[in-house]
Amino acid sequence: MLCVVVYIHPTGVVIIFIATVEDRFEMLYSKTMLTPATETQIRVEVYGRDVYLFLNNTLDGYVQTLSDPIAGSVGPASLFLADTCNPPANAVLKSIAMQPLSSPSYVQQERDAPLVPLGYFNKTILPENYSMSFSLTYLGAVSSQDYVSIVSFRRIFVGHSIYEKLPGEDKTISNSTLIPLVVGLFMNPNTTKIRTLFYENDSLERVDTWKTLQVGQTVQVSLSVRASHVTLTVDGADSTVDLWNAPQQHDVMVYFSDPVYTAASAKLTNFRLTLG
Amino acid sequence: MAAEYPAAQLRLRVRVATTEDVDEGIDNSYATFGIGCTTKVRVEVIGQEVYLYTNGTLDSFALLAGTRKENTTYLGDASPYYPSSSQLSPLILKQITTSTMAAKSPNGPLSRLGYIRPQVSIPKNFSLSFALAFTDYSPGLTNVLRYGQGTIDSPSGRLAGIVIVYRNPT
Repeated sequence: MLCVVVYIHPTGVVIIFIATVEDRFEMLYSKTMLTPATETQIRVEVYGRDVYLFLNNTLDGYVQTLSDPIAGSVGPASLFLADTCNPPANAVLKSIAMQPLSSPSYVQQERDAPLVPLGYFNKTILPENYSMSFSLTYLGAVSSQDYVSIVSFRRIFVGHSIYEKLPGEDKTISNSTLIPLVVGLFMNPNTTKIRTLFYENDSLERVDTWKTLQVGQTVQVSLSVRASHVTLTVDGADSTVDLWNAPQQHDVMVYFSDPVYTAASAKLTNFRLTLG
Repeated sequence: MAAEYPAAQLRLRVRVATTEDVDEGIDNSYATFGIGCTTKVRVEVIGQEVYLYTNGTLDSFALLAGTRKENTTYLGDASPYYPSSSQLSPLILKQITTSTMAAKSPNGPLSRLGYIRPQVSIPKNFSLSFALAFTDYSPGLTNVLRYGQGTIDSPSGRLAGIVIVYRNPT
């Protein structure tokens, strides 16, 4: 698991292992890196296969496990602080509590609300051919030198559910087997244009639209993927590209916006995903 | 006999006969025992809980699957089959009503096996919360907490379990 740290600054990332009936090592990584000498309230909620990680009462990560977590009827367990599997963290831990949960505390945002990371997420199987469409209202610039996210499809690995930050185009992909992003719609850095990034077979490819969005403007966005043939349309203006690497079928989580990247200042409505 | 094993591999085993298995317990101590060194060993057994202390520090823990067999028996300083090349003294056996670990608090700096709470029920759906402040970085993965049965590497080591670790600079 340490081989996947290339694109996240590794300091202070919290990793949660969830044991399921098929895999003892399903994982959830925190997006936020903890800093020394700062107390952080950590809460993990497990509800069915849904695992939520809250840092200071803000949803930081979510994963849907691939099989049922082993809990409830397995007999008594033991709580270890800290265990012997790794050296103890240089940390102070307080106020540990485990309580039954009748329902998860997180409610996904209203569809007409401004985008926030993890505002909406759902698991699906993304086939080779699919299309999506939505209305996007651009609300203004976001201070970021990096991509800002609109929609992401992140791969769920068999046994290990992770998200790692998307590597920029100028960075080296050093471990191709763990590239998590399948498709991402972003705002191009320092512009108000939409860029779609595809990852497949070690390769990053992009499809750009040249339409500049104005503050307050609502546009209709659609993306059509037919094998390697991709069409990105913004208000009727098409950008068409034939990818070198045709998309394959993947188990993915759909996010708007992406859990790792800053959200675009925008509203997304009428989202429709058509598979096949 | 001792010459067949490197000193670094000399570890203690604690065996307990239970209704499930006559050979349960702690398989290997974390501490190793150097030749010619004296180590203070204490074993605490409370119900199905077995604690091994070396030189006053909790070394290992095991939660037995079965109920301990209790009967009148004899006390000897070594198995008649595998006597070790060691000296033992003083030997004290006394009754206890609670383990040393029971007096510990779950709050404070983390240390290896610094706190164990056996017999915890894990609800099917649950919320686990705590406050954490780490004080310094460490190389590699470091552990915060685990719920599980047995050791981390046992088949049920992470049953009903969560392990939270830091991933540190690499």
